[in-house]
Amino acid sequence: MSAHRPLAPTGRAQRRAHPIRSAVAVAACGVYCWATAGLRPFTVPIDVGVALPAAVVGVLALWGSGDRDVPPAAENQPTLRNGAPWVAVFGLLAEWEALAYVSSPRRNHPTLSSMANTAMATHAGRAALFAIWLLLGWGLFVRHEARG
Amino acid sequence: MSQRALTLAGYAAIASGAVVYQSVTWVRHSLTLGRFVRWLIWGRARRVLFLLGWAWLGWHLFARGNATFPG
Repeated sequence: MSAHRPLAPTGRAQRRAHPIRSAVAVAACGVYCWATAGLRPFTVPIDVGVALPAAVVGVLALWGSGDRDVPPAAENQPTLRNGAPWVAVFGLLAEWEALAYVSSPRRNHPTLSSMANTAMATHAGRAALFAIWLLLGWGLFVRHEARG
Repeated sequence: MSQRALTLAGYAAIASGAVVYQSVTWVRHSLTLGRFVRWLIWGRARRVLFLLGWAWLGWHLFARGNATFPG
């Protein structure tokens, strides 16, 4: 009997059905990023500004995730052959970063942190990097989880 | 080639390698970066570990960063 009942939209389909809600959420995130990027480091407001979204992502990522703790399908698990290149890429990046870190002067040997600092010299740059950090957390821990 | 250009070229080469391999795996429906990361953070303990790493990164860059700040 339930087979004849039309299926309710789920997940991505539901989100697509509310473009205005999505636009408002994106705009609110943009405003939040811009406002947080204007706060001074080593102060309580910036501590709260960073901790708040981190806590939200943490709660959403871990809330009820025990039900979804099933191992990835066999074809999505790395083997020595297809996983090694990714390990090599991140290993090389770590080694190159470490080499730059122990070298001087910093201007001639920029690290990822020093390049991030250069990008964050302006309010817009700080807001953009803050948005990227939020998107990374959302994409890794919330959106992945929602997709199962 | 200056030291600075050489260092930046190294980062660019690594990033290019990642983009090329991602394209290859995407075309072959093999282990893309997304699938690799999903496997990497699979399981509650690993997820919590990576979550803490992500939170620390934000804290390090924005709450305790030393870039040029407003005011």
